[in-house]
Amino acid sequence: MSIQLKNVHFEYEDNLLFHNIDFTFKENTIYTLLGPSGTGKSTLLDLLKKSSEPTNGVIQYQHLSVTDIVTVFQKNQLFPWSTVSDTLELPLKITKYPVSKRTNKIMALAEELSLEDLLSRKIPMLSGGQVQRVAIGQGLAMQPKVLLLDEPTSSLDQEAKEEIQEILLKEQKKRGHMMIVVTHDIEEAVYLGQEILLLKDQQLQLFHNPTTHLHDRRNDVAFYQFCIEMRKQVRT
Amino acid sequence: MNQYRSSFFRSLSLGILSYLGVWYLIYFVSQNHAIPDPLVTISNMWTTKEVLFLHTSASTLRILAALFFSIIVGVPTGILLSTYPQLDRIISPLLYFLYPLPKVALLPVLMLFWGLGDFSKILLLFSIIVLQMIVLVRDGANRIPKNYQKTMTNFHASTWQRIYYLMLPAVFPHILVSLRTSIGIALASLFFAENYATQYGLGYLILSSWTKMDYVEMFSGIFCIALLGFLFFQVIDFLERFSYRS
Repeated sequence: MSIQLKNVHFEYEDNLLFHNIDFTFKENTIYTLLGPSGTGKSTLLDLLKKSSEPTNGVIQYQHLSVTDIVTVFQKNQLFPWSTVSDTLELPLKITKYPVSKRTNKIMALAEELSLEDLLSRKIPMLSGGQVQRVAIGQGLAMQPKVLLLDEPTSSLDQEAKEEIQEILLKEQKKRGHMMIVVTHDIEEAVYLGQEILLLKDQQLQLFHNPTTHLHDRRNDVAFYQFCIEMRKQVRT
Repeated sequence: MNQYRSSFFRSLSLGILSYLGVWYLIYFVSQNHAIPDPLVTISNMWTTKEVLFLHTSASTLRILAALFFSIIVGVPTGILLSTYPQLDRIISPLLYFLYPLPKVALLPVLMLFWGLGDFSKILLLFSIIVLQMIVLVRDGANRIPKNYQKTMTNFHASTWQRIYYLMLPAVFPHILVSLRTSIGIALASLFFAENYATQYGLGYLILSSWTKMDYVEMFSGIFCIALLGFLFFQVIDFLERFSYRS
């Protein structure tokens, strides 16, 4: 399973965002996408999701259809009239998941994301971190082969941010889906990404993350050294 | 549920007591035979309760029928106009033209086309409620955040799924707002609608007792209309519990 970008060129209102990009996203890998504002990080997700089409070039999907790709948005994607349980059930209803298995599925997701006690609570009554956990649960309910996340922790405090990052790593390890995370937070990009992509000057640059094998990365100097190196790459 | 029931009865008693209080004050100050003694009127209401029940039922059924058809027509039309802005640009000028028109002025025309029976009366009430509902539902649907639409696209929802899971719950508060404002106008219009070719209805009761100068009966009818309005508002308040506030 892979997504292959071949000579992808994209312009929007006379703005050139991608110039002949060639890149292959491989299965069971976490990619984080960094880049200065306005370079088209979210646009790349739209292209991968087929929400928009490249001006030139093609995107090829191998052993994958567009319904296997699910996006978790930055914020405000959950309906305020729904409870947590209804929210997790929505994709199951839309995809006509068997009614008899829905409750078990919702309970399993709630357990994985520590949402068991919040199932009957309405969305506006949740904290930012809880909302994001529900949004991730809603995405996972679709059983995606590719999970796209657009700045999933941008509006969260440090504690909630780290909690979401741990959940994303745990779920990816368990399910083995491809995950592409857009973020402006370099530390997050290095913590989550096995491969770090830098979108700059209309091109994608790939950096392999050498710190993924470290045991306690948040307390390891090598992790922060790589963060500094990535920061230089983004800024130069 | 128990909490709602006790709140309903508290609200009902408070409403009736304050209504009677204001009425008694006007009766006491005016000392005019056109304003009857509230206690005499209440006692008359009890003795004529069967007749009052028939009049109130007739009016209630007409309003319920008008509400039903307004929802059936107004909600899909509002959603349709929001979904297809080109259609909205064509239809909206007509809506805005008809909206401020006093619909009771159309009653003779409605009677000419659809006769003197219940249908033309219900049609009049319908014409009052439905325009407001279309406009409010359309505006409500237009205000649905783009992110919610993106969520439905993300899950590859069909048009019907979008309508059922997103648009209907999102416009539900707007339906209630339109009902709240139009029920008052619809009740007021009963006077005109029930003035012709009927012997049942609160409008008929009030107008016929007015011409007979039977003010006790007239105020009994007015009290029933007030009670009916109160009950409709309570139902809307109850439904609002299932709604969300944006």
